[in-house]
Amino acid sequence: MNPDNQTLLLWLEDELSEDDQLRVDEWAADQPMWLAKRNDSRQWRSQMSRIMPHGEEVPYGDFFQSRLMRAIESSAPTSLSSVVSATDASPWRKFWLPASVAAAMVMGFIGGTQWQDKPQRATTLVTYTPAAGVKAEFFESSPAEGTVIVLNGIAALPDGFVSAETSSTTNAQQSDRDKEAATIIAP
Amino acid sequence: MQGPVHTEPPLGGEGAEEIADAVLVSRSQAGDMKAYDILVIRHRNRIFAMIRNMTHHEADAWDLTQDVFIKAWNALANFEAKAKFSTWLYRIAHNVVYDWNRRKKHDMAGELNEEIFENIRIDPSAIAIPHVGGSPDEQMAMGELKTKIEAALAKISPEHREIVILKDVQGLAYKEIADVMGCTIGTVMSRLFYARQKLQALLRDEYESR
Repeated sequence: MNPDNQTLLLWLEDELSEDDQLRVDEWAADQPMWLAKRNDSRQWRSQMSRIMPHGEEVPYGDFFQSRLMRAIESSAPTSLSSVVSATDASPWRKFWLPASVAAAMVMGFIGGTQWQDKPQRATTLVTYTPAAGVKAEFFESSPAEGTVIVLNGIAALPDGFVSAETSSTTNAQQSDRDKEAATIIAP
Repeated sequence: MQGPVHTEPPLGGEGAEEIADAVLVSRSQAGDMKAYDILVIRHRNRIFAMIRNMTHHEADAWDLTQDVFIKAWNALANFEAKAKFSTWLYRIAHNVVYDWNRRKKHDMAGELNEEIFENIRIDPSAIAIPHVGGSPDEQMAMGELKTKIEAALAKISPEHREIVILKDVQGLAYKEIADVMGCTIGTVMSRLFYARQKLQALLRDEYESR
């Protein structure tokens, strides 16, 4: 019996189950045209896989990974673990959950009243840039006491560029700026 | 009596390659970022290649690949182990590229609407497989041939391009492609048939113009 069109197309691509494959192979044994077609199909797939690699190294792989993980951490207010634990919560856990939350709130309040006088670091989030196509990202490292603002989308400064304003900053101007910065950062 | 103790294999290190996707997915679903990190490293090159071949733009492909893995993480709780994780990722990539194409709709100006061919019955005996081997271009350097194929792929519609990439480059089966693109196997067969036929015509034109 002749195989149907769909079976033949699957046969051409070597996608049939073992039994079906044997059955169509048997039928195709005296069908040179079909055998030639399957040969063409195999040859094409083989050539494509050699010419067009199925995987390409992602440029800047480490940066790709760190940026992705940072984006995931900052974009997921409800983590997967909390979703899973909420759905799997036992009645015992459901009973204790409100009590635990209340205890945490009390502890937080006490902690807050004790530590409120300690100086805190000012945190600024840059989310707006006036120029279209420019994207700002803000990074703050507490251990290193470093702050970095990355502006993506701005043309690179030429090597010979010298800022007249910063190169002629006087001590008095610098002192005024320091005072101003201290005023902004102070809690 | 104490039950059997289940020890999970450590993540990272030399054994990480051997941990099955299903195990890593399960741990990721429990919020294990390290497990997800390994999954991303394992699959990112294929997803990037697929998207780069679809968009022909490396920087956009880089960003879109990021989007794929962010969306995958956000939807991971809904992932069921019925499908392969890689197939599920291809499906997300398909949606991300679809949205990207929609935003860049003007790039598609001039393309024929291939959907009209969808219901045409395919004659499997018709020639639908491009003949690269046996042509004068057999001697063509591999890099040059790749450029020609990429150029030809760029000229066909996004749907046809995706089918060829998923089938002939990524090596997915008809059923997997149907899952990725959310259509029937018949539609996949139909699209692949016309996509290859078009590719064949474009590559033949390329040979003849040399």
